[in-house]
Amino acid sequence: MDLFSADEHDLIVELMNLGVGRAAHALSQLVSDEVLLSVPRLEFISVPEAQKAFHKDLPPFLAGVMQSFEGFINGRAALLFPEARSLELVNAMIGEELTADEITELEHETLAELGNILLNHCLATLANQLHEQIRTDIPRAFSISAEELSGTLNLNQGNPENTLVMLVQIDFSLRNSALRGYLAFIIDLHSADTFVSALRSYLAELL
Amino acid sequence: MLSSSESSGFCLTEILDNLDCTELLHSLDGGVLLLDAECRIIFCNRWFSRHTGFAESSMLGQTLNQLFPGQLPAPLLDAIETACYQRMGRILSYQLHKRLLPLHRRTPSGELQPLRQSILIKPLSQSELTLVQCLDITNAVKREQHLRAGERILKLERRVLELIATGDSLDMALDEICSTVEQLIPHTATAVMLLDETRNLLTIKSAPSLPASFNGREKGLMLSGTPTTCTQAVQLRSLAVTPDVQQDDSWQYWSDTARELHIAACWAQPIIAAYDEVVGVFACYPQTPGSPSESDRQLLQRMAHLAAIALERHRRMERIRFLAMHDPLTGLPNRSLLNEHLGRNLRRAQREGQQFALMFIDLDGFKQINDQHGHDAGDDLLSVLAGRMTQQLRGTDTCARIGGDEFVVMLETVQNPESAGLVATKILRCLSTPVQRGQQTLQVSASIGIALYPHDGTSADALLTHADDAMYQAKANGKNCWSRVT
Repeated sequence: MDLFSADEHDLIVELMNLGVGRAAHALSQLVSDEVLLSVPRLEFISVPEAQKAFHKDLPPFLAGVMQSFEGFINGRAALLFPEARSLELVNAMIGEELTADEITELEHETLAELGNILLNHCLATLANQLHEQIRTDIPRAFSISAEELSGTLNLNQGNPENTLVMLVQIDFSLRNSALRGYLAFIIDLHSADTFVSALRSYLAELL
Repeated sequence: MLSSSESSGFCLTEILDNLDCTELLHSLDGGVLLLDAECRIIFCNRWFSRHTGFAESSMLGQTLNQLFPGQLPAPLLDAIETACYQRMGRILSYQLHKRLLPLHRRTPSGELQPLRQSILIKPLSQSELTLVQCLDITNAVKREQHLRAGERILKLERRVLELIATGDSLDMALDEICSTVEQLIPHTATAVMLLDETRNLLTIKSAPSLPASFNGREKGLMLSGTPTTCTQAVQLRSLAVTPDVQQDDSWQYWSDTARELHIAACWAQPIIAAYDEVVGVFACYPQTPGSPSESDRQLLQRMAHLAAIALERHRRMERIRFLAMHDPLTGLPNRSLLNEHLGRNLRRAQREGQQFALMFIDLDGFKQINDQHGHDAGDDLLSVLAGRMTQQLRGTDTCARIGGDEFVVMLETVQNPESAGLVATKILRCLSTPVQRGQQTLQVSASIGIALYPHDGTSADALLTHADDAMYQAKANGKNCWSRVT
């Protein structure tokens, strides 16, 4: 999708890296251990493309955390992991070596907080740097099959043509665990205009 | 007319319109607070006043930080401010924040205990208010702790069982049992002690985290001596507990060692194998005085059972190995074990440049014994003669039964051919001495062929053939004599 110019795209990548970096710092303090996060890839895609990408790239079972946001952009943001690895991540966060067979309600909450911190930092950094406002709802953790993802993310709510998906790969490294997840930002295109203009005025200020 | 869904929808709207939201929030089983844009409490539900002890009126207009000065963890304060000022929703999970609001709840027995909680902070849309929800998850935490503890024990037990099932190293399995208990009961050293054949002496078999100096201690644990915690466990066939070794007379002699090794108490669980036989003791030495809890007792029992399984399996393996290598009638080594000893001795003699002797022994007149007195008599005779021969030999020599009335003796070292001849003469004498069996007197003699390494052969086959030939020469020479073909 060429909604954004190359400069604007680069700016978004930079802001996401900044947000992820801040999240890593916050998580490191929380678990008193080094948490490394990086963003190897970021792309803007349409809803059908997103559905295709989810089908192709994601494992059959997923664990994730979703949060709604509204402000200068509106939509929903989700952190997605292969379900089998999510427990490993939670265990690494709380410093447990043992792995249960199933994720319990407490671990769901921990996963929710992990996603919460990550998504909040990304969204807050985006808003703060662009001098805009954003409000986020409380996070909700879920375990679903890949087919259920579109429904869970409300991907087809409203007109798919008015929805834009920002798909961000994210690599975690913490204690001895390393895994890749995805951040998906489902952005209402009615708000994309404010997004673009915020990016343009930010870039204009730089020049 | 309205359809049923429309009418119920209509009713629901009506109900919701007339609902007293304040009453609803008060009746919730969980804490609810409403904060204004400056983090001040503008509403708190009854649950909250009940669990904080503050009257509702005294909380209104205050921030949480003012209510609990210096008691709130930084992440909670930060999350509240982020939500009130920046409108970011937050969750604070129990696993990442063991301490949130200083709330307590009463246990069924009436004790006050910290309330385990997670907190949700939701900035409300279309207003400046922020909703704080405090969830009591004490029971979920308890369930999770049980689950994790059970899982941990299962995982460790599985490791022990795998070691028992796959390897036949008894030491490894017992060490694993010890370290399992040391992981599950922290600050505790453990040992497995076994009863010897006299069933009077307990000796340490495994104590991976105790120094060798301590292991020497149990050399002297006689069941017939002064009772100790461990010997009591054997005699009582149940857990014996000494909660404080410094206050216990039976530990008097060992009190310095105990102090040095930080041993404060001793819990001894008997290891009971098949047929209700006590075979040893599983001993725990905690660093602080005290008695085992119910879960400690269960763990000790389970581990003692595992130790019993490991010991039983080891004993059976040993038995199978013995049966495979020995003649069941006489208990003498069989041909397989002879070959093993012979091979080993050949290599040793070659390395050290020494001589050794091999004797092929065939009884004279054994067939007649069987014919005249029956096979039982023949068998008894063979057993007695086997015992007599063994008595003539050194512990390092080997006497094997390799056929019906054929034996091979290997003298591990000989200085010269004459000394082999002397042993042969002694064996001839003991074999030809009559054996009394009830009313019967059984008597045979023997013909012995001697082969010497390296003179008569340098391989097992060559030596055995040579000795066999010499035996036939002894038969030809009139029996009841030995011969060597040079």
